[in-house]
Amino acid sequence: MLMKLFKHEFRATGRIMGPVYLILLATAIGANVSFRVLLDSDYTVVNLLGGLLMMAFVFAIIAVFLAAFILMVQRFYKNLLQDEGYVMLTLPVSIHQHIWTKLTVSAVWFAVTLLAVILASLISIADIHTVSNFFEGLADLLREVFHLRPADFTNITVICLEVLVFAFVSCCVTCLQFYAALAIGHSAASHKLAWSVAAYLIISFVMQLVSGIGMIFLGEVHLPSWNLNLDIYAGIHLGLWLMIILVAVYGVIFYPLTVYFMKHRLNLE
Amino acid sequence: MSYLPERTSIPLWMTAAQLLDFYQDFYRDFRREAAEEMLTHLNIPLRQHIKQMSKGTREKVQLIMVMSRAAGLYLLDEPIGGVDPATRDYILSTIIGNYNPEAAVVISTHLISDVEKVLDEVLFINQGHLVLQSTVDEIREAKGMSVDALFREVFKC
Repeated sequence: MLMKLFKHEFRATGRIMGPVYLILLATAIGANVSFRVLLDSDYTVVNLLGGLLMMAFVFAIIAVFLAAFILMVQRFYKNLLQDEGYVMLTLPVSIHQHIWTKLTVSAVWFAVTLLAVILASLISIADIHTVSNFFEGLADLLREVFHLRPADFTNITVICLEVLVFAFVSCCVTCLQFYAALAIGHSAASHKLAWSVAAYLIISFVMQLVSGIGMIFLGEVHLPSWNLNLDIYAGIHLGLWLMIILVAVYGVIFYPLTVYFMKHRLNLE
Repeated sequence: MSYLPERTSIPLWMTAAQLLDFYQDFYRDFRREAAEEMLTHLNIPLRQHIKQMSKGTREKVQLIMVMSRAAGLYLLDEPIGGVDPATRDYILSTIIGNYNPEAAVVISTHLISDVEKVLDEVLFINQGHLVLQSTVDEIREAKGMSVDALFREVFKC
């Protein structure tokens, strides 16, 4: 059932993100033409066109990030808390499967959006030398990687995986903060959206308060100095896992909050 | 259990074909051939988006999806509210013609005169309290009136 939820969720979101990425690609090509031809022209009108194409590319980058973000919020709200909720929440799937589907698909689109913007940026500045330089650089990087000591190779691979885990957990927790606020707000009898905004602001305020108190506590309390003698890799691993755990703590609070309100306080119109 | 909500709840961005895929993926008892036959009978192209359909057509499509399941219990919330009389007749004939004969069909409605002819048993509920439970035959024989007339009497303002 989870795979089927993924299939339909990607179908529902891909029809929006696909065209947005195509617009980004088109504006990147426009920016490339602008860089290489239009902005150097002696004609003011051509220069103006070049400037407009550059602006269009910048707006497209902003739009693609906004689209991924708005889609994340809108899919949860529209698909589970509005009229479509009558169909979705009567499917033979659990609320956990619904939430994890939304979280995972949102994280995938955030990652794809980042890659798309990087690719579009490369396209916008690409010429025949850039392309050949890129592949030469890639070949150099691969040569360096294969010449690494096994311990270095393993540590760098694990660090990359830890960064990916941190990125995924951060994405999920960001989404869960919105989902919890929407689930709480939509349990109200009326003015559901207003209550959702209020819930989000209250949650953010509490998060800031807890983080602030935590920082003050760490600053005031004299912790025993641990002489760990960590090497640089161990230090990076420890730092990354501390960050993952700190972010995950928020997720551990937001997730059951979302599930509770969706299961026990659901109030579809 | 197969549930028809009062509101149009099927995703409007889907085509009729995508909606068939959706129901087929999640419900093992979904009879796709029966649903396609009913859609063809109504001249609804499978490639048409739900948002391009009129309100009445959307109601019919939603009902077709629900009644194409071989469920043990059908819960239909106001299946004929807000549609024209011809559509009401179609909806009622679809309900009668397609439900699993071993299943129970529970219809919630205030349009009693239209639905009365397909009912076996009725429950009158007022402010969350059950005020009457009877078979339709008992109402007609014992009280000598239609269910619609009895409803008007019981709920007189």
